Amino acid sequence: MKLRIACWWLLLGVFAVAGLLRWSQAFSVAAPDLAPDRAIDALARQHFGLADGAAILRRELGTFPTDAPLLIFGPGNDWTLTEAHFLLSYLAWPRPVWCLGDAGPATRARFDHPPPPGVRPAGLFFYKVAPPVELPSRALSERLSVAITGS
Amino acid sequence: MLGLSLLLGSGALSVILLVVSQWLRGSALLVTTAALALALGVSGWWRLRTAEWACLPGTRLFFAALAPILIVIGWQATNHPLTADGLFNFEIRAQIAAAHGGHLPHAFFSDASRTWMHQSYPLFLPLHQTWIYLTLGGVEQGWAQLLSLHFVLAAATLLYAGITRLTGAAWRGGVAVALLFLVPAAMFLPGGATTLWADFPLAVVFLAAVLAVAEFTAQGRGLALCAAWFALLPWVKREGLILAAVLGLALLWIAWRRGELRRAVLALVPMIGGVVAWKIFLTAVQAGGDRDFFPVSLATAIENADRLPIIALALGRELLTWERWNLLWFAALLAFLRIARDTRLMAWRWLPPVVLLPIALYSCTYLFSAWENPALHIVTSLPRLLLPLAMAALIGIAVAVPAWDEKN
Repeated sequence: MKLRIACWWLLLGVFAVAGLLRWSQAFSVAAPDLAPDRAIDALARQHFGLADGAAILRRELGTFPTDAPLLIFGPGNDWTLTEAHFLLSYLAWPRPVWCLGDAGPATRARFDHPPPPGVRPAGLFFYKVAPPVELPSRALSERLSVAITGS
Repeated sequence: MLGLSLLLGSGALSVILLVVSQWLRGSALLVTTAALALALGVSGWWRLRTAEWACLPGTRLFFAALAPILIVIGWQATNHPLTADGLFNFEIRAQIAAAHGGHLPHAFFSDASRTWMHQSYPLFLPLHQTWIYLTLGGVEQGWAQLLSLHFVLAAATLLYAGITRLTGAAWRGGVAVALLFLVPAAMFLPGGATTLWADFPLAVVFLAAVLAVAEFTAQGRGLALCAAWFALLPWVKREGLILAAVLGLALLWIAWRRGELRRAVLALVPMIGGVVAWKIFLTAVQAGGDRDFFPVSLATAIENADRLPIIALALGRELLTWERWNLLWFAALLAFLRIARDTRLMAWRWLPPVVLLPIALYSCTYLFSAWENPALHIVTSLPRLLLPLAMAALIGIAVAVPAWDEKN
């Protein structure tokens, strides 16, 4: 009986050591950040390379009417296209934001959310791909450009 | 009492805010919701004003130990921004509601361009964030993340008080709380307390429900609390319905043996009412459908039966991933064996099935996964599905650990 009790407590001891070890690996000493848009800013920096991204993107998206459909175009096999799409959609409410992935000729993109037929986007965002030269566009960062189609 | 107040208050606030926001906006919504919540609090205090308050042994020591842990949790919550589901499935609803004076527009639920937000997900957590944004006057993601502390405090106090009361040993309550903070998946990994997805709040409500069933088993009281927790589970997250159903079955079995089946059946009525009401609401607002799963049918299950080895392998691998679960599942296995064999722990024999049956049911849901790569679906969601069950496993471990001076 004594051995069984000792084994149980040894198990709890190992549990404690392993748990503290994982805490020490995950613990971040960074100062707390209570900024209002901290999560959006962090993702805009990570995916678009934009500093103060929430404010910049809100300003850009604010130029479109509230019912204007928008579209983000990017590499269809790159999972970050999903987060880029979600991020724009987050900030664009109530404008619908669709996502089109480029996966090469006759290949279905793994990450996209295409608009139904007949939707004509008023604005096109190009993520990690260059906009067509014939389309007047503006680079917001190295990874993100915007073009207004006027539809 | 603190844990119960925090969690019941949470449930009440979310329901009041949802209902009142259908008619009022902005300051009127804020004042009315605060007044109703306050009235609930005062009526609770009035009912209990003559009750005798029993202070559990070791309470001061417990709170002295808890305070620095809460500081660490708060620190980690505020230096990690919201990500993935926490941002795009939950907080986004609060952000949209805040832009509309606290009301989530019905257009949100039927927006075809936003089906990826899983519009049919329940609103328990987003309504908490909405409340914070309403009181602070705008979107404040940093402050909203301090909600983690609310749920961690509720979990720790419920676990300590529940186990101490049920076993009569404060050290068992202390062991359970200590183990909770040492499970990485429950603390800082996706779905854990500091990340503020809905998984940790669901786990805390499930913990409360399991403790309420244990209280009923031991003393034949607490059915009203069981009813409240069962109703709250599907309101926090959809899989809460599976948890409530399994725990409800356990309650019915226990009540049948006690000859109180009729009262126990009544405890399930609020849950059924809540689920039906939410379904009616989703139908009325034409909420987008679920793209993650095919409709459940025998034909689909048979067609996808070849996934079973993949699911079993992924589950086994997950339970053994110490980086996420520490030794929790190994300790739980030993605890469940002890509960099954030791007659002194007979009163807890309903607990292992309450943990194991949902694991089996969750695993079966992947037979209906609509993902192109079901293995990826399993890997990304299974760890979070296991979190509430880990809470129940902690209870099992705490009650099964033999005391130092135990005989035989």
